[in-house]
Amino acid sequence: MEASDFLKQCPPFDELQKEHLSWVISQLQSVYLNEENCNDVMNSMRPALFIVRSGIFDLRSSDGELIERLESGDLFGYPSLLTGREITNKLKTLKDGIVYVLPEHAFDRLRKVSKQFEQYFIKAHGQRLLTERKANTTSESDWSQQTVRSIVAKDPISLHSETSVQDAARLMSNNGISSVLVVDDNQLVGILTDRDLRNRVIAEGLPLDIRVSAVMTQLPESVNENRSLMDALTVMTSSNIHHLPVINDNNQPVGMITATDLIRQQRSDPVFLISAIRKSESKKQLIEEAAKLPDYLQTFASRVKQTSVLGRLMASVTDGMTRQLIKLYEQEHGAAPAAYSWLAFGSQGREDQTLSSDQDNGLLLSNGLSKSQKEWFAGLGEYVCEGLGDCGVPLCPGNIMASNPECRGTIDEWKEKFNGWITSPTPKALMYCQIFFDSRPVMGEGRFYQTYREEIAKLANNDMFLGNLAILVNKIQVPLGLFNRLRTSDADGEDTIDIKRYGIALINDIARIYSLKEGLIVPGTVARLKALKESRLLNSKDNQSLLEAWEFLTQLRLNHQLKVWGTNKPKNAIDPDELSTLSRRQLKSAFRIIKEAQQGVGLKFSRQGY
Amino acid sequence: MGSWLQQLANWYDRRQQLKQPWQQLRYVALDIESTGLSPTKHDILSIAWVSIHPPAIQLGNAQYHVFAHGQEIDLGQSPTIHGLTKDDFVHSSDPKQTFAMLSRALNDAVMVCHHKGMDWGFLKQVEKAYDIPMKPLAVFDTLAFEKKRLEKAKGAVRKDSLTLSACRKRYGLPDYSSHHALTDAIACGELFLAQAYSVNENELTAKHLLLKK
Repeated sequence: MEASDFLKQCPPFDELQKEHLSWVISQLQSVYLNEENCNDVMNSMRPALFIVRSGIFDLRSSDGELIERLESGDLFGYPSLLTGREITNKLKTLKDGIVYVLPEHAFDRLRKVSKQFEQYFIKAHGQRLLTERKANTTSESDWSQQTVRSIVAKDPISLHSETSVQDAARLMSNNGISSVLVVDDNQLVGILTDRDLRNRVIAEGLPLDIRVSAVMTQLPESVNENRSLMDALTVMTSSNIHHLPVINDNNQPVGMITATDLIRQQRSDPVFLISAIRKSESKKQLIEEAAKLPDYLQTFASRVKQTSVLGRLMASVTDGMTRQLIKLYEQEHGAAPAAYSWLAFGSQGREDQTLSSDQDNGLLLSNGLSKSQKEWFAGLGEYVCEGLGDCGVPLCPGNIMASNPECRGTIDEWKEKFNGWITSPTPKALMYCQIFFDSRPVMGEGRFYQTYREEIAKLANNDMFLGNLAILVNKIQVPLGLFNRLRTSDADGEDTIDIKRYGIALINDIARIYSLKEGLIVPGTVARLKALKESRLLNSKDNQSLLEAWEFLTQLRLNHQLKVWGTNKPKNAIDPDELSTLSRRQLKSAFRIIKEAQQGVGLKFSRQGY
Repeated sequence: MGSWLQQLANWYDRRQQLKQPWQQLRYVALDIESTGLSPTKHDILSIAWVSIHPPAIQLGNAQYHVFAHGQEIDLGQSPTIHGLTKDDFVHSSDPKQTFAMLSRALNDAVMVCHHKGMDWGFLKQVEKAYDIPMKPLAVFDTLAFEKKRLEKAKGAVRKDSLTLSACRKRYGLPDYSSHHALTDAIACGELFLAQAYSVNENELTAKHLLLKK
């Protein structure tokens, strides 16, 4: 029957079992609504769930305010079914149509027999449409979101820092482990590995009774047991280490995980790719490994629940390639002549990279470099940027790359640049700020970078500057037309919406403004929103909505990119007609959230409003 | 009581019923798919009907039946037209039971169909062949209603503008794949509601609606 074919496509009915769906049909009524009859008809039917089959209707509150424009596949009437409250909303017909009616008793029964059905409406009612689909993916397949604790098999094997290295070696040998935690008074103070024993004890000819504290790695990197395996992987790859101590919330060591533990979790996963990149011995080999990324991603993407993981994964891969290229450059031209940091900006900095993201990078250099030292870094910039390009990370059309002398500077030089942008906020300067404030060190000394980042964070807390950023954010109109209809533009003869420009980038911009005001230095949008949970500037409900909208849009973009990968179709342009009813509804909600958030920053940061 | 008296009483009763506001009555939208256009020569392949208590069509009570007519029926071109396959006939209904059910459904209701000539003609044959009365209060022809309406608005009417889907389009009703008796019966019922509600008159009786130009 036509009605059942229709409902099969219409959430949440698409989730129902076959027999429940045919039961729905047996309870279903169909009404014809036009301008004259719609409120009479509605009143004679309610309370009931209404499903628009055709036509266009406006749902308005009793005081005439538009609540929602309803089109084919949209549902209404459920709030009163859930709450038992009287209905005061009015319906206005813009285009006559057919509306299906499911009576209250049928609605109640479906809520009892189908948990998904029940949850759909609870969530929809809470204006939480954006998260509803996530529960669908099975969690077991998503290894990277498992917690670190879940793979810590054994109790930690540890020793006191006063132990002799021979006793330490004996302990490691007896337990068949290649590394051991060094713990004093329940606190992790170091880590000792096979490699340390080889390089720092035997090769150096040190006596076997020397204390562990003399040769261990002090204050090693560690990971909290509640973090995800993806986080552990990120720490390992960014610090180039194979053993990672696991600590609990009280900073006490609870175990150790190794790269092998991670690889064992999922043999086909990009962990391999990252490790293959790290092992590449030539540029040619590195380029060959990098070429495998899209395929890895295709298989990996089908298994992960949260796409933010993929943005981080891609950033990790780009980081890995960058570090390997730096290493290869050093093999040819000698080690770096001075302290420096290789900086990732933009999407790599925020760790929300996609398959089509360009490079955005730069160099933070020590003061007082000689001409030849400067030349070494100039060569490094050129070599790495070109290498990344060969590895499939497109060159930046705006030339924001370490190969450009403008993107290499000392802390003072960078500060001067930021200061210039902040005090004379031309459109270009503001655009630079949107890129350069999202920075992260990929290689080089941590403390050095930290100083730079704290210095420029101080510069950003400037009301006029933040006001200008807020105005800029409000210059871009989300593609919602009158009455919340999606507005497309036909750039290439197709009616599409650029969800990066009109969606993801706007949320990034909004999160950045709040972060700059709060002096936060984390670059990622998700991390920023999480850190802003405590902020008085952004209430927690709006914060959560922005996060959900961001995740929905990045997911949508990724799915689209995987679909059009290898074609010349635009990588960020979505055709709303190709979306499911649910996704279209979610897209509208996401844009609505962004629109409100834009107005929010407009009011809070710019005196002119927006 | 004599049977002519009974008939007179029934006639009077029907007349009174049709004087009520149209929303007070029950309607049955019906569609028949057959092996050909002539009720005397051809057979009913499938039949579907659905009750309408204005403003709502009771989708849940819709009936759909396929008849096998023993094994000897010659489907001719029809299987491709009506989308019926041999498998459908395996689940065929008993005509006598089906028509008895339809007879009860039509009792006290206005029958609604798109092109009365065909469907009503077939039902008259059924009446004779099975001795089952088909006595709706009246028959509302969505095609005839539309024809009159268009003629009034712009004179000559092209024949292809009176197909079920062309009429539906004019009222902004969704496009259904047609020539399935059940889909067509519901489509016809929806068209009827659209037509009835498009007549902008207070206290419109069923009789008015039936005679509406």
